[in-house]
Amino acid sequence: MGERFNISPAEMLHLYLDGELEPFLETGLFHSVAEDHELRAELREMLAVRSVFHRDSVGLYPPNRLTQSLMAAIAPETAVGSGNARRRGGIPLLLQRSALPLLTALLASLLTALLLWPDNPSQQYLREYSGGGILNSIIAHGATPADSRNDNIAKAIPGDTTKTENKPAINNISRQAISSGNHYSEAYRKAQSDRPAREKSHSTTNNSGSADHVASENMLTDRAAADSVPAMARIIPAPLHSVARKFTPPSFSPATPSRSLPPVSIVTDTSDPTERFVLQLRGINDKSFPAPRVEQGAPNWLDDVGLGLFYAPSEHHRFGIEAGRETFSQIFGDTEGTRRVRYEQNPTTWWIAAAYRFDPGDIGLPFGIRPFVQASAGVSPIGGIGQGSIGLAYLPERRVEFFGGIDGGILLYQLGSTIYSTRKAGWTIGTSLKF
Amino acid sequence: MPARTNHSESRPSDVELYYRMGADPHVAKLAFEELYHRFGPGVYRYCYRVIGNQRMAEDVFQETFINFYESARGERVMINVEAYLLRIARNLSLNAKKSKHNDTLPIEQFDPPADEFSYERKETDQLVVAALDSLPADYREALVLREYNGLSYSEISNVVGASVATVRIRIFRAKRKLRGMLTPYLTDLLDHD
Repeated sequence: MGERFNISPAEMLHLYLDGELEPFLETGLFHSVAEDHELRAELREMLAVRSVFHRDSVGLYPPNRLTQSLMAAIAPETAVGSGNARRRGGIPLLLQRSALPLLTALLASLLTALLLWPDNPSQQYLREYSGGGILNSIIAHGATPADSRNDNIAKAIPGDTTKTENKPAINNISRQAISSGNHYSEAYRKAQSDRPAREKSHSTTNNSGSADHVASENMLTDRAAADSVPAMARIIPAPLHSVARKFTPPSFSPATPSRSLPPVSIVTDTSDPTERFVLQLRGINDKSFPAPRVEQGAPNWLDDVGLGLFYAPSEHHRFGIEAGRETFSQIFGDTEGTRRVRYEQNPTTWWIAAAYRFDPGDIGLPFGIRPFVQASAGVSPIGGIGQGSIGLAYLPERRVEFFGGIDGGILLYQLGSTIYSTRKAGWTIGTSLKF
Repeated sequence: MPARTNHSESRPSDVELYYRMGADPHVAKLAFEELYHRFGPGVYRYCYRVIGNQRMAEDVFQETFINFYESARGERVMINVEAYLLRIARNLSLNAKKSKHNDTLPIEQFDPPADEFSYERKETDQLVVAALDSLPADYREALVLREYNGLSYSEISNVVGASVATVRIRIFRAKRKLRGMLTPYLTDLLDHD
């Protein structure tokens, strides 16, 4: 290092700041600094610049997604005997990380389908053991099970030559269930007293009409005879939609869970403890099926929007509450006298749900896109609600996320002793912000 | 040059961990994670500040560690893990930048954003970092290795493949150029510090 004997005081100063100055040169440097105003100014300035570098350096840290992606690429199960580590991940990794949530969702879906699908033996079982439902009522009064609610409505319509004109009158247990809480029962009973004459008239004039149409018209005639019967949403024809919109759905108290779920153990990722909360806003473009045939009420700008607040104990898991407002088409059948009729309404309702979201992290998709799955369960003024969505999310910045995917939901509501369900499916898009 | 990070007897050294990466896959992954924990931030800072493009820097960063991991399966003699990692990152950075011309801004074209609120510390910091980005690549690299990675001149010479004297001159000139560019703003910086 003989060359250092010829260096300038300024260079000595920089060497000193970098810890590279030979100790025996330090004394000379100190004298120079004490005597040279310019050198002191340079010392101050370089210290200030160095502090900036230090602050900048502290802020530069590998993003979590980069670390996750790298660790996935180095995973031992794929690293052994593999010649190209960077191609690891992708679909196998997604399956590996999503296996448990997907399996849970699949089992839940199967169970739901078993319990709630129309004409399902399980549903019949539920009805029979739910305190005397519609099915029991029909059987008890002489109708055969084949004539139960899910048969073609036309079977019970007077005027159709193939139908059960001579069936004995069926009680109105279900009808009373529908009308409980208002003046419908009494008014309807009054209307029933005039029924035979009107039915006879229909039987001779309406042979070619559709079953639904006939049923609806019969209902309308009954309602017309009973002035005090409140307006009620029901099936086609379209001119009746204005009547349907005035119908207020019956309110039901959602069932309270009898016991709480066992605690869930989540491994907490402490690598980034500063941002644990997530605010999520999404649009929900779900459609009911079967599609509603009556219009919904006046639209609101908050319709089909979900707002959620989540807590993220780790990068993969989020727990929170989501609330929104959506329209659910409701279709429920009933038996009136010897006829089967169907009511339909399309109310818009608020809901609030406990939500869980799983994100397997970066799996090697382009642009850092990562899949996610979200499930929620909650309540609405009409009944219990469950929702689920699966899709892809893009993070232009670690705190901001844009996502889109397919979404499905189910609304459960009780009418009388029967539990009905409304299913919806569609797509959802939204954004979230970590803070 | 001796290994820098032989922290304690209870903690395996960098070199030991490196050799463990060539063993059983599960042990290899654990060793890799520990080495990543030790050197990941430094390599990331190097890539980020030397390349100056976040996406490219992240690609290089990831590629660096993958190459590093795969290298442990060979018969390599390891002396300094950090220097080795930085050499991989440097080579990949040079390759990545081949397609990116004019990565440095001539000093005479250095035009910091005229912002009337630039007296705030954050913006002054951005000014300093922008000046760093405008340095010639050799100067910037040496300065980053010194200031962001804390390497000695000797270690820097090992990484960049130049003599210690060359490294010393690069760093000195880099600082002088920085000072020249920042002189009008350093007063504000000093006021904040």
